[in-house]
Amino acid sequence: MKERVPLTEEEFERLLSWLNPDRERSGRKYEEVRLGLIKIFAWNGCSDAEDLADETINRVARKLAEIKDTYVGDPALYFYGVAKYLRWEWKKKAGRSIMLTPTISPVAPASQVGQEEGRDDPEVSYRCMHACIAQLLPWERELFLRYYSGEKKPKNYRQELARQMGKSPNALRVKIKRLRTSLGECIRKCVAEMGGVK
Amino acid sequence: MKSSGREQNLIRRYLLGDLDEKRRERLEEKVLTDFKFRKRVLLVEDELFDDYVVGALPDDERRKFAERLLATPEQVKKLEAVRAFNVYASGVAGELPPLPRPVGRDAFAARWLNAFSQKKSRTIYAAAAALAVIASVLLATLVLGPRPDERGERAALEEELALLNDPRNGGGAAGQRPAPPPPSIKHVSLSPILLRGQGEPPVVLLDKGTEVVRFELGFLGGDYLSLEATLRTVEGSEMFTVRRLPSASGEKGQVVICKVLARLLPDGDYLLTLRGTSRDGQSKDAGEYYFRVTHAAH
Repeated sequence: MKERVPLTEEEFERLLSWLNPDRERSGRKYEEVRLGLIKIFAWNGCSDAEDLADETINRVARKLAEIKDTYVGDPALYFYGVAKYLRWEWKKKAGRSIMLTPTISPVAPASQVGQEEGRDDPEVSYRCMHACIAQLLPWERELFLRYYSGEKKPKNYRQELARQMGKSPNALRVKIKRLRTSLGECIRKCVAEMGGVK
Repeated sequence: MKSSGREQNLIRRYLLGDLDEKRRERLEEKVLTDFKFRKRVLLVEDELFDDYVVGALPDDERRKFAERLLATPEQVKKLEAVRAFNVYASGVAGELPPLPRPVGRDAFAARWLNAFSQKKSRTIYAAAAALAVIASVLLATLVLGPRPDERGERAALEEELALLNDPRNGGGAAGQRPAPPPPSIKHVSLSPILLRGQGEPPVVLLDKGTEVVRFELGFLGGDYLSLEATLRTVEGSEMFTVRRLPSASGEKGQVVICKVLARLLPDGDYLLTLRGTSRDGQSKDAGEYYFRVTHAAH
């Protein structure tokens, strides 16, 4: 994607006030729209989802003077209209079908395996994961480990796990998502503190 | 956050790219205008990642998943995090007490329920483990089975590799040859990619005379009855599986030894997947290893 021209402060302010006259709400709405756009692009296999979302926002902001007095409805849907067009443009670009985009790094210097001093210590991540899981409340740890160790027929297994809790499968999903988020946060901090990421 | 089975199915089909344009657009509009709905989509997305990692998706869904849901670096990191959790949890699963029998809201469930209502969510998903060249993982998931006329050839090759890896054979390059001379062996240590940092793949430099590459695969551990390794190109083409691999103690803990004939490794990038069969008969991911083979110029 070609380099974007950033929005001016005035353009950005105009966009926010279109989303909602209340500044706090408009900021929230902006974030929600942006995250939604990123997800939609990503779910459509667009490797540069974030760029596409920002480009969508920029185009809407630049068009605003023309449309804001006549547009009726949720502004998010206008963003979506522009996003659809951008997705179409993205697909159209030469050689780009909605396919996996390899992100393999370019050819490595011819270093031999085992001569990689200074690279990440793989054990740091593992130790951090171990430490962070150990910090969970006992019931959370048990739930998390059970959820991720069940394999054979995940759907049945998860349903059974949810049943053991007296909760719906959806509640289990929500809980696991929260645990995963907090563990991810903990592990990232831990790895940074231990110097595992360079 | 209620979500009906029908809605979940619709979301799942959307994420795998199975909806027609009209329904896809309706769903995407809702993602942008209904924050709660978006959260439900994210939950179904999570579950797809989980299913993908444990190998619960049918082949066509695996392919669609890899095409559509592993396009951005964030998605790839997420996959690696899920994989790391799965490997870790599988390794300690044996230490967990058996689940109590479901008797309504028993003490076990009540304990969970109480805690459920107290916890608050936190923000921003973060990847658990640092990421190495993940595209290989994705591409490797697009594996197609061998064509019928290749099956016999592959079976013979795998038999040869089984002999090569049989500890009783002492590491001969071609177990069928009578009294072979000691092969020239290249020793290579690899760490599982789920715990590696982002960066270049390790390069295995092969000399002209190298006959066998002896991979020492760093292994997170786990109680497995048997282990096997499958080699794929990063383009996703499955080459062969080496079965009944021995594990041993290495300098950095437990390792699995896998020997491969050098002639089977032309220049290119590869993904080696280690799977173990646990005592309860389940087959589980035990590690993935990415490397690049370069033959020395002659």
